[in-house]
Amino acid sequence: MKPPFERSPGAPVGRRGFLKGAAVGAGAMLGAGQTGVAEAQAQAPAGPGGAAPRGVAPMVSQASEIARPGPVEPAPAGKPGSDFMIDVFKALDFEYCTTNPGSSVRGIHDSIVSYGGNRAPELITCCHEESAIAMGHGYAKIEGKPLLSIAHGTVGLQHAAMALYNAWCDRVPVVMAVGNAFDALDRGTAQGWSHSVQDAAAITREFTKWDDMPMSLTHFAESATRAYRLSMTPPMAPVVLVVDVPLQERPVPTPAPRVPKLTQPAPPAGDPATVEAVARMLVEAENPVIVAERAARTPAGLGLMVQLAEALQCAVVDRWCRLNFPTQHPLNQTERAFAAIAGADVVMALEVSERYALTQRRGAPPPKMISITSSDAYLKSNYQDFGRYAEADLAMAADAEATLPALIEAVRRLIPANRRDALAARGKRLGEQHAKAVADARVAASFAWDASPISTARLYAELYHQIRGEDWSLVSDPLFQSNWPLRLWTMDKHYQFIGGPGAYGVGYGAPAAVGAALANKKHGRLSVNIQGDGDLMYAPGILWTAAHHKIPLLTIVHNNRAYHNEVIWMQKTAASRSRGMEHSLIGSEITNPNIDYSTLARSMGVWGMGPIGDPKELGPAIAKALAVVKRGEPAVIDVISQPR
Amino acid sequence: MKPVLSAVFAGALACSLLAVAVTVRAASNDMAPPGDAKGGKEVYRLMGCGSCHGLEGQGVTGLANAARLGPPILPYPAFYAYVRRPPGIFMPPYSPALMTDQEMADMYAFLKTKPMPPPVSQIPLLRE
Repeated sequence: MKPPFERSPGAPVGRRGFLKGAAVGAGAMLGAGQTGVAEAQAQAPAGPGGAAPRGVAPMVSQASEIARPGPVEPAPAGKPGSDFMIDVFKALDFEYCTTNPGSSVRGIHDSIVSYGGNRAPELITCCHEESAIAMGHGYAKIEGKPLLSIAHGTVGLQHAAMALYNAWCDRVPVVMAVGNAFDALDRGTAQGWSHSVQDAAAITREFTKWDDMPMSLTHFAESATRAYRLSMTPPMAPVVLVVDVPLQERPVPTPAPRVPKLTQPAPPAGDPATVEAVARMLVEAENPVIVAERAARTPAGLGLMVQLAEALQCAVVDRWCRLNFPTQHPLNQTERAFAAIAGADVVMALEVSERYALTQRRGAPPPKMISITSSDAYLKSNYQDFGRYAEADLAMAADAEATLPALIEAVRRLIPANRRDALAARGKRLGEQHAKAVADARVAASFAWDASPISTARLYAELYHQIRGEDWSLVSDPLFQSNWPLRLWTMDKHYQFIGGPGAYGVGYGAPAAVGAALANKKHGRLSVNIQGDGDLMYAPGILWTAAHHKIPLLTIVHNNRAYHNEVIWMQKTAASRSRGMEHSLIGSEITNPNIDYSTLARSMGVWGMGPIGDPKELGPAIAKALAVVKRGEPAVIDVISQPR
Repeated sequence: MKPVLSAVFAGALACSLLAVAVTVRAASNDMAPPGDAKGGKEVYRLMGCGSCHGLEGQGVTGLANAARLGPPILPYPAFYAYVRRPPGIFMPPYSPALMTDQEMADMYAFLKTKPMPPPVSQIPLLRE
């Protein structure tokens, strides 16, 4: 843990002093007609030690819909509370703080950029709070730790809610601090009241792991440390801190509160007896199948999955919420998942949320089920992302990755010598099945190869051709493009694929890609994002964020000119009702006019090219865009694509 | 937005059809009635088949696994039966009220115009 940041003695007054001087003049100019404000100030109790009246500067006009900074009180002597908050955030080693600025966190905001030197955390400006949180979502899946987000406690948290829900369902840590004026005397005008709330975190409590509203700086230090710890303990999830505005302004008392030590608990692992029972069941099975959804939390987890599968010589099906297993490993049976699971006598689900379907089998006894997931130890009831109740023969409410070492050891120990030949034969058979399945996938990719709109298979093949020699990272989810890279590319590094939104909330893709690219930047990795057009349009301002903060990222827009998943649903509904399909695109297509994504990108300072509809033009376009990305900037290519 | 369909665990028949699709060439003795391919192209578009099966009938995997249709892998009688009463839960039925028998024949004729691609060995980008 780093020591708290200390301001250099004799440092210039800087921004705070300048604002204080300017405010005195502004107060003189605006003094007339502020009777109500003056009364409120006169009635406000004095601050600690008989200092200036407590409370923050009220707004100029109660009737005004646009808040202007009112007369600013002279800042209380001493270090403001938000400076200490930055000490805490630095101790928690936050690399970045994403924000769409809000006046209720102005204290923290100022302390980050002034007192904190805008470094660790560095402020990242977003055009929407949902983007700020989704950036954190993508960042955490690459970096293995959260970044900080700050926003208004009402309007900001409401905007952020969708992204928090995605992170909750995806089991990803995000730490969000939101501002609020708890005391009525601190709210000022109508805007201040609209931005105040009795229980700020209530709106997101059903899909965050923990929240608190500390009332002192000591309380803040402990709450922030606890929030981080909880967010990072599996099952990982977002947390929210509500920070009272005056707490950000009141001076740090003497002596200053202590910044507590952060000790991350070891994640919960399965108990030894059950681990032994699971190992025995797997070893004795004829056709065990491992189904992994979020099993590999870290790069180490990926390696452990390989060790387990190779010890058992068993099939692995990856549900692609992370890179749980190398895509081209012979034991990877994802391309023939249905057949593999249908033939299994034992299925082990590792951090799988929706397990019910795995337990169902028509016309044959269901397989024996093993489940290892930390979500069995902690979940909430309102939002139903936990899926239908699934029976299991053995279950552990434990983190799968943390349990794997003991399970691997038990499996290796329990395999009898006279089983080794049978296991080797099974592994050989699975390898042949994997090879055939991948070969079949290549044939499938060859159809419509030269089509316009461009086939998604062609798009991914052209891209892979140019990046395969680089240290690349696919920071998008190819679910809407037939999962081609997961089927055909060689992925064996954890950061090469980070999964999708978690709750399938559209609007995750673009900001999460930028957040993941931000994490990849210092590692020198090439981040590539195949971007849904509809997803991008939720908050396209994230392109500006990428340009402004020089985040290198290649974005290829999968421009199928529709919210295509909804097109499918509408067509299915119309057909099921024997209604004509001619209305099914209404409300789902994004045409007339067609959006020009390359111009959109350029308008935000991002290199843009397209639209491209001829597959022969794709390779040269990608080469040009990659040159831009390799010099440290984002680039966008608009590609008119097949629907899936 | 509504939740997406499971990416991996799609309908059994769709998966098996897709598995067949990648290796089986177009049905040569397809028992298809006469059809107008040009009109069939419009039927394919109007019925929204391309949304799931691809605008070229090339098939889709991942979300709502949808078999390759062009060129067809099923002879016409099986194709007809499937479109009228698809098994599973993903593809909706297309009743005669929605697509007449002649429209079905026209669409099949259109799908037959789709060529088989060259072998993968002749596509360098697919050998990487």
